[in-house]
Amino acid sequence: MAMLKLKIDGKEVESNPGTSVLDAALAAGIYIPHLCDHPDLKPAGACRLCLVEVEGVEGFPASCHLAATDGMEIQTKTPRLMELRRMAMELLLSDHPEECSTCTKYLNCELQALKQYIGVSEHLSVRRRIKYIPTDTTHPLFVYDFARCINCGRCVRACNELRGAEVLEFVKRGEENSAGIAVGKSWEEAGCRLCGACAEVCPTGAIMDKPELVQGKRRKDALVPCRANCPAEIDTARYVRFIGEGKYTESAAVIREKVPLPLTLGHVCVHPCESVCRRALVNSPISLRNLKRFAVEQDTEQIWKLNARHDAATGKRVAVVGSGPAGLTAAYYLAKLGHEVVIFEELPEAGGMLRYGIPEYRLPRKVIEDEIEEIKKVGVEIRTGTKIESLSKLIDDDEFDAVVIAVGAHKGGKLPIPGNDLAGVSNAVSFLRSVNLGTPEKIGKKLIVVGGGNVAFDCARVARRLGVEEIHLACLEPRDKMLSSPDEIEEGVEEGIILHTSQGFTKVLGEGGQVVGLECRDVASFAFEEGKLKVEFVPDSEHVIAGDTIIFAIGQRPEIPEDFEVDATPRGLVEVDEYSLETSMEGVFAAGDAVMGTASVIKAIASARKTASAVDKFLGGNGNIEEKLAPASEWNPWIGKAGEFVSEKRNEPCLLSAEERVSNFCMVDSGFDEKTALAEAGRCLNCNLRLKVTPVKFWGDY
Amino acid sequence: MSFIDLQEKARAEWKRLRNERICIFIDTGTGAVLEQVVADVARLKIDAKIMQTGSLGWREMEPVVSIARPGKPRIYYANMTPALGGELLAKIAAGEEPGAELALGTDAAEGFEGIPALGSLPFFQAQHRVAMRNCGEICAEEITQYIAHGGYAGLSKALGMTAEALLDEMEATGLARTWRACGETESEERFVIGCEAGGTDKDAVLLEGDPHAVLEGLLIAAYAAGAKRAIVCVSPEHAMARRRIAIALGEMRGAGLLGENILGSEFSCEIEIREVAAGLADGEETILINLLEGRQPRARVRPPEPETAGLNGRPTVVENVETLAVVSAVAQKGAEGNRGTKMVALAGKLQRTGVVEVAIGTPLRVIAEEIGGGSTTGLELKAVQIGGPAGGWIPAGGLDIALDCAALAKAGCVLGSGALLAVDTSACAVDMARQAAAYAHGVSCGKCSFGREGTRQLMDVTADIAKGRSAAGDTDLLLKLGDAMKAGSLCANGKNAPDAVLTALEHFRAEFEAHVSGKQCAAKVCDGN
Repeated sequence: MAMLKLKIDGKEVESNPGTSVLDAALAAGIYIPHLCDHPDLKPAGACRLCLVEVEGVEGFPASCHLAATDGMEIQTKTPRLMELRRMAMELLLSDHPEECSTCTKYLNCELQALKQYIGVSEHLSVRRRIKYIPTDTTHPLFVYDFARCINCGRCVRACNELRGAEVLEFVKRGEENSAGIAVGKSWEEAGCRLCGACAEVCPTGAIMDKPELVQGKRRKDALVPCRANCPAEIDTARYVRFIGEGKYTESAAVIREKVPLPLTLGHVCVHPCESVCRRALVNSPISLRNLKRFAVEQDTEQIWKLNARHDAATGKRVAVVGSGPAGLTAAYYLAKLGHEVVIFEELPEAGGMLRYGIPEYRLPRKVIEDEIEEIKKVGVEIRTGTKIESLSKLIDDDEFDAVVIAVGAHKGGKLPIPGNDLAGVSNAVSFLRSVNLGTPEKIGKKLIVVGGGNVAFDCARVARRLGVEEIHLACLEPRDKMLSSPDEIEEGVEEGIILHTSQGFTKVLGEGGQVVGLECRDVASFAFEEGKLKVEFVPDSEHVIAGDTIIFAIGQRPEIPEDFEVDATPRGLVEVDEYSLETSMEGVFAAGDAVMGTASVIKAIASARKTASAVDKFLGGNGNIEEKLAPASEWNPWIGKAGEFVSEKRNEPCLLSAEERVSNFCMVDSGFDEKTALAEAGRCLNCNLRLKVTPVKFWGDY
Repeated sequence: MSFIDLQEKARAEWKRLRNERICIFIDTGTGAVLEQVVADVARLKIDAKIMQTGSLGWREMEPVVSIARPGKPRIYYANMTPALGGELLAKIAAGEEPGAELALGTDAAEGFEGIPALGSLPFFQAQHRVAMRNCGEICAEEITQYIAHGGYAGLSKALGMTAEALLDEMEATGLARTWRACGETESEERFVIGCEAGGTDKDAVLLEGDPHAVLEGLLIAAYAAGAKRAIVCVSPEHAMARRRIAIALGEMRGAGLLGENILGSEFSCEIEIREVAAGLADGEETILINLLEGRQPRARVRPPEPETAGLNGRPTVVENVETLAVVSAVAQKGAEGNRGTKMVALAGKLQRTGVVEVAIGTPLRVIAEEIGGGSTTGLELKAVQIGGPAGGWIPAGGLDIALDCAALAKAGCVLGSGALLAVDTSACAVDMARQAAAYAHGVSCGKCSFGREGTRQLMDVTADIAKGRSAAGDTDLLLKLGDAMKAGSLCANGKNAPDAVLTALEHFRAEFEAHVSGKQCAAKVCDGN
């Protein structure tokens, strides 16, 4: 179709047929003031600021819905138009709160910007009045200050025409007109889907995010926190969206863009994403970990492999010490970048804490093996049963150009209390490793696990499956402050673990060199001051928990061989430079728990990604490990009406019953089936859709 | 049966009725009178048919009962009460002449036994009733009477023409402004809508008095515009009108005038009744369409015009029911003598008020003084408001102006619904402006800045002036606001909203200035003065 030629303020402008005069002008860089118009919405003609004069035609049509025609001549700045525009502006300001600087939208407000552009002063020629509409803060995400509403209708159009949620409309409260939810209806009753389109398009401070949700944060991170809070930067919003669309292989590809162990994470990740999920402000967070697991389990097509990177060989060799998640991840990315990578693993099999720490009922061995297989496929060589004692030997003799220390934190600690060297006292690492090696340490009939984290529960629940009848778990923290995840605690208690919370431990009691019990005192409160633990005990609360075995699960440290000769912190963590991630030895880097102390699988992976990038730069590359594995997402803005959306509760996977669980090491939950996964993905608020709304340009941008 | 048969049968029935039985016609709003008449007729064993008509339009004379004895002219009795009715009927039962004392008029052109012809009364003489031709005359609930008086002959003729030829004819008379565009727009479905005007009850009088005149016009319009679905919009408070339309639709269906193959032609059409508060739509078609679609009552941007994309995005013709009643008259009897009239809701400080119909171009003075009888209070008339409660003012000295869109536009007024409100010199121009501004603000749809905030400003400033708390530049501010609203509002409602204020200012500036500078209200109407 031929382009239309028109003249605007004497300037020749071309535009496509079907464009409005306003859009044609803006595209040509000619600014016509407008407030109710928005690039993503149909024009409304409500604000009357965009009026123009058309040569040969009487009247002052609104250019936002005036179709451009060939040969049209438009004037936008005649004295009469300026007069009308100023009057329209004054009328819009007449019942708008006078004080700008106390509004959260100050300096980011389209109304304010236009007021300056048109040149309206504080003293209006029309009457000012106050709109008595109280601020509404009942919504979990937004503040509705409709006294600031200028009736542009953008939010109503966005909610109805763009999103299809049909929640907002024009409301009359007594005398006052504004946008909003029908009087007498709560946001839930009206079917609000918390998508934020209204806040995104509002030109004034009428609809704003609650300050505590966005202040001090980057906008993208505040509005889509699930993605921002993932240490490895997995695009959570996107993979959930793909699941909701039934596109599971695409969803898995999105996850694969950032991590090489997606199914492992789908079983054991501590899900920092879930802890900031905005759905939690409605009822409960989305079950993101289980969705991740579902997507990867469903991914038979594996389209991620089609675009996976595999750079040309560089001729450089990298040694990775340790085959836990950090070591595997660093090796994976370095191999994809074209380097020759060898992982040295001390234990008989690869996997680190995945295999020798986390019990089988939480993470099936097959999952670990399959995922390590994929890592080997990119060319990583894993030499198990090989302990590295000296780094200089690796570098000088074996001719490795760089080394990554990823030995984890495998030295379990014991409390420094009398009796901690009696027979029957062990630590979590050695116990769990022994079980996973197939030769479990002997446990008596009454086990006491000391510690309140996930590792402590691993010990207790493993012991249960080994047939130990009486199992106590005692920790310093009160129940609600225990470091283990709520699921672990609940499942553990169901399996018969007896909890003793808020306990301080004074002595291991023994008879004949053998453990008979643990002396405890009740804790009133505790705090860490300058790294040192200060505890206040409840007076006269000494008591004994009887037991014949004690496992301390109170923390782990890395075990760095002496001959490594790298600097370590007083706590035994490898020291690395903040920016280059290099240790004190040139060409030697470190990643994972060895650097951070016990953290999490996802943090280990994130740390290893950064380290791989740093190593590549050291070896002469550009350090870019990014890949695009999933197709572009469509982000259809239409989400439809709420139905049961708000009340839908969090879906939980099917759990085996406690009786079924305790006699074996089978997987405790079977994850989501398709119906449940789709239902759970359907609970997502689609926070990311907000960022897809076309941003509005202010007049200074033209 | 064919239309000819239908018509012959109806005419014969009417003739028989008039020749053989006593006909008693009772207008609306007379529950007590109706009950009493029914009771008396039964008690006195009079062979009479009791029928309900609509109003004749003369408010001061209601309730009106007219009686036609076989072979004698029909006599209209005004201000009927149950007791008076009883007296009359007693005389008739006794075979006596009812007497001229209570009679208002008669349908005999030369009068009858001292009773003047109804048409010669000042109230009626200057009228030219086309839309209202049958109002108060025929039973509003019997289609045969409508047919006997020419009804549906227009539809029959129209269906014998092509839609094209019908369009030509209707366009030549100035009706049918949007019908052709509607018919020419490609669509699976088209609509024709008949609606009431807001701010007046003239259309209630029409619908209660002669629903078929409107419905026939609706079908004619539907045929010409290629629509198979028509809608009549009735305001919720007009329950009687709604009832009569429903009865009419039932009768039409029974006579083959509605539904499939109307009068045996290829044309099929369904009519549905929808309740829409006329005040909400306030004459702006796009607001009405939004309401019918279940949306909020806000104006839509135009283009597209409703005739291209209206109800549900389909081509839609929207006409005031008054226009449709004229369409049926023109179709029945030709344009000659049937074009160029307007119904006027006459109100205010006049001797005679109600709903009338005059030729376009009739000077307002004729309407106010000849038909309306001039001031009823002893004080002179001050001004007349035209078009509705927010309409412009014509001062008493300017009443020679014609009831005509062009002439009124020059005077800063709009004909609108045709309402005409007269005030006498006891009224205060500032108060008149203030009330009109408040009304305009109340009916503003709220969508555009000029309409929503502009009407608010007009309301607040005129209220301030009325209360004696205005500032010096306020009258200029009113002019500035009015000017901006007329230029920049989204729809006609917003553009016409300032008319009352601007015309009041134009003709009675001195009163405004007195309120502003002297804080004085000469008429002693405004608060605090």
